[in-house]
Amino acid sequence: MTETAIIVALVVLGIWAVVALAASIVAYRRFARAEASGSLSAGGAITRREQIEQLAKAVAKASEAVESLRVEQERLERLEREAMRRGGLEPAKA
Amino acid sequence: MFETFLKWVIFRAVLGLLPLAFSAFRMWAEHRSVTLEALFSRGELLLVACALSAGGIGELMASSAKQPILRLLLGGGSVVCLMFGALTYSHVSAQFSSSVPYDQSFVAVVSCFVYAFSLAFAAGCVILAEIGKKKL
Repeated sequence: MTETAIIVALVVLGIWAVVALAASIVAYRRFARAEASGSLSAGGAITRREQIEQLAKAVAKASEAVESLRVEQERLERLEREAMRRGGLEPAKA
Repeated sequence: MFETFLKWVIFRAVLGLLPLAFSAFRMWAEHRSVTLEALFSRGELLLVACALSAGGIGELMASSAKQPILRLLLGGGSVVCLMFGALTYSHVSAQFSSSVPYDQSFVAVVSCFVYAFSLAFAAGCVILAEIGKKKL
């Protein structure tokens, strides 16, 4: 009876050990692949989804910068036109 | 990673078996038959397995690995191996010291299995700890 219980416990423990070891090897392989592809940041391995999110943030920042430049250009053109009008000059043709 | 793992294999897994290897060598030198039963029937291998499991638990506790399920699987398995090995050793040594007959070959086989499982869990713990170290 005791021997049977020990054998059952060993079988369960064996399956557990194999699963755990396999999972840790898989985790290491994934980690090594992420390290090799250079997608490791200071905070650790980043997933593809995180990469896409970071790219989207960078694109949003760049479009904001373009928009602010466009607004600034319009403001400068308006100021130029006003200065010309006050001085009685024709605005320079592009 | 490979260096750490190799260090662990040599200095924990293999050198831990050195006393038993010397015991086997002595048996061989004395022209006695070197069998599993003769080597492991008193549960010495269980002690080595306990030391391996404890080392694995220590590695895992000190690491900053972020995989919670894997940590539970490996840490829990190591704790179970440690407890199983310690309990079995205490049982076997009590029977041995009180000269109660017991199935020596069964103890030897159980010891081998517990050692193998402890080795697997501890190896997993070392791998996970190394991932945690590299991610820092």
